[in-house]
Amino acid sequence: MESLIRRAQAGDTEAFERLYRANVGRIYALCLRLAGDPVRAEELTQDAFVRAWEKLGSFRGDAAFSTWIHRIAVNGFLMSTRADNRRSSRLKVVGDPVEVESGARQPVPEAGIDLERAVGALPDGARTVFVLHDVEGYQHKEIAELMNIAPGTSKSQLHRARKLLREALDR
Amino acid sequence: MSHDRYAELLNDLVDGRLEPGLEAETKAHVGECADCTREVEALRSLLADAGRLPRSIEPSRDLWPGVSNRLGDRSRRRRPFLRPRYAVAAVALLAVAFSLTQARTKKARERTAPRATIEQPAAAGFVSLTDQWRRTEATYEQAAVELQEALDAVREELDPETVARIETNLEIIDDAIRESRAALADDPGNLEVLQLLAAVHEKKLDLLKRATRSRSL
Repeated sequence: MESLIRRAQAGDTEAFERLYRANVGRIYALCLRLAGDPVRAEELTQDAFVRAWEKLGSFRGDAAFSTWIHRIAVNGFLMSTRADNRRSSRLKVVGDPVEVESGARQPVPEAGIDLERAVGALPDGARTVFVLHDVEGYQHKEIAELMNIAPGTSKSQLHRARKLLREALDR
Repeated sequence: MSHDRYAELLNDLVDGRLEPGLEAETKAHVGECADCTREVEALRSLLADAGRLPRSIEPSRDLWPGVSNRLGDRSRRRRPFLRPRYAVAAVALLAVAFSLTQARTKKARERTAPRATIEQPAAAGFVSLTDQWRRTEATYEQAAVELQEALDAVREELDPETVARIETNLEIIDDAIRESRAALADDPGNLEVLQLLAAVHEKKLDLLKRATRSRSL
């Protein structure tokens, strides 16, 4: 692995492809759960590896390559989400005028659906904290720093996520 | 300590985040409380399931070509101005702008659905793109005027609360259009702003169409 990293740092794209092949499943799984959308997950995965290639010169091997690119992917997701939120906040409308008449409501996750689907249906903030804490093993302090929120907010989002998941899974 | 207070600590208990004294106290309560016992079991079951989720999932297609195409000399590498999805959308927008200007003689209702077939990618530079956009925006505006007239014709039949929401949302959208136009005036070649402006127009047409249709729901 170290040899591959050194070769990739020297500009060897074949070595970098081997690093990609060894890590893409892990990064895609992370992005898929964070984004809740396969198309966006593919885009985030590709962005993470491109960013890793760009920053590879600064990789010193203090952590494993897999840990390093994992963090790049999480940061990329959070940055992308902030940018999307800024963009969509300019277009945010108040309620849905048609909803008033049609009686349409937000879909509620059915009981009994599997955990992956239930995680995908969580609200964005709760999903991010649940995936980082309960699936990926991050601590609230780390999550708070990454998401620029208070540790208490991370905890309350996690509790909310667990409550919603239990309701969705009928537990 | 009350049952409700213990119940608030159950997440911290299963996470192993309680101080030893409080942990022992909470465990003692759980041992005597059927509700809290069920709660703890459910939480532990959920965490066990989360821990069993696969750590690796292969994407449904090979993503490497899309990565390798973007790898360059790191010393000279700059991030692309637009993400791939937005770049595709921007190219599509150019083509839509072209096809829309060809479709101006069609009936007004058809013009309210500006997702026209992409006829050909535009190869124009930013100056002609801006000109094409002006023509496209005029089409959006004309469609909005006609839909607004249709909405006005049925306004009396709509629920007043619905009308109020529609008007609030139209004001928000019109503000966004003004802001986007100002941003475009500052930076006429900015495809991302252009895309945003097109999206706002789409939003307005969609709102007006749905509001007009809502009478029959």
